[in-house]
Amino acid sequence: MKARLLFVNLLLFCCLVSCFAQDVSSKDYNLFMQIRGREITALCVMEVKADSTIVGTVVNEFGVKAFDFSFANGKAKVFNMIAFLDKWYIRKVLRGDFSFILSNIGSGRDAVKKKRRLTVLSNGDICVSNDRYNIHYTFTPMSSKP
Amino acid sequence: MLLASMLSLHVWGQTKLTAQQQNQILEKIEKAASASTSMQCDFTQTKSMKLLSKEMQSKGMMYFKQPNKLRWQYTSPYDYTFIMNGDKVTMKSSKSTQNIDVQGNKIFRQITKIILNCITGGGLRSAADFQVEVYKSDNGYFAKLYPKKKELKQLYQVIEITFNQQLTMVSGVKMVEKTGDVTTVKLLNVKNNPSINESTFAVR
Repeated sequence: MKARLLFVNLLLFCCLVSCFAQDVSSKDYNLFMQIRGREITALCVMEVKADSTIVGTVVNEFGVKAFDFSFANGKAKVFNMIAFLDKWYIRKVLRGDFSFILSNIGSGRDAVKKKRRLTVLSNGDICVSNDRYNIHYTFTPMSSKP
Repeated sequence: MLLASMLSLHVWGQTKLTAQQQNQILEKIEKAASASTSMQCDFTQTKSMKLLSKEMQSKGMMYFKQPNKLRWQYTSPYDYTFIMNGDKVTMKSSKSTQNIDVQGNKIFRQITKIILNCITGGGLRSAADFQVEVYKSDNGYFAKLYPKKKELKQLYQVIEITFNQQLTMVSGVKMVEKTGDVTTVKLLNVKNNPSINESTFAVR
């Protein structure tokens, strides 16, 4: 009886562990942005929750946050923006761009919607262009070198 | 319960120094900082964010030469190099290289000043941009820097600089952002006054 209980406990424990392990998956990218001729490099880290909601952040290499984002039901939100970027028109463009990016970044296929294009390069880079505002994003999956 | 309370007091025990004690400690650190002509070390950087369940970790190497030459190079998991040589700054990543003249950029001037203060521990007594408080903990001394100016207040709540036991150099820096996210930098394998080739600080 004891052995059976122990076995059931162990089984439950293993199920719980595997549930938690699958709860969140994360993706890290080097992000290169070109905004009307100006170049910015950053890091973009995101987590995909079990309910497919995505949360993430864009920080510079020193760890200073530019903004956070979330994505659910096809819509992105941007928040916690660094003061000098925190303007309604910047939030609006980023919200639109990240809605498009996060809808398509996991598919592995090219995508087009109005003035926005996403291209998956053979080296794994994901290039996104917003032709209306001349903004280009390149997401390079970060290697997991030790 | 009592033991747990005592342990927690022991771990969290920190005492704020009086103005006189603070001045003495900072004077000692500044003396050591000005005696050091160069410095070289490895570093680890850990960023914990309220929004994400995992921490971001990176590491690299740092070279510093008095008075204002610095090479801060991330080697893993990404390549990024920040070089400061006087008023000139170069930032190199795999996709771009940018050069900035610090004199013409107020925020950058403040940031480079903070970086130098954080690395050497020097200049804290006369830091006009921060209100400085020094604490003694079981592990030694550390300084809390509260930003005074608007631009820095928008970035950081507080920056904590931890000094080694001998008060001769900085051993770590913790930056707490307005959002509650925390970036911790630890300096490891520190070599004091090594010979560093000038080409290490070459900017375009």
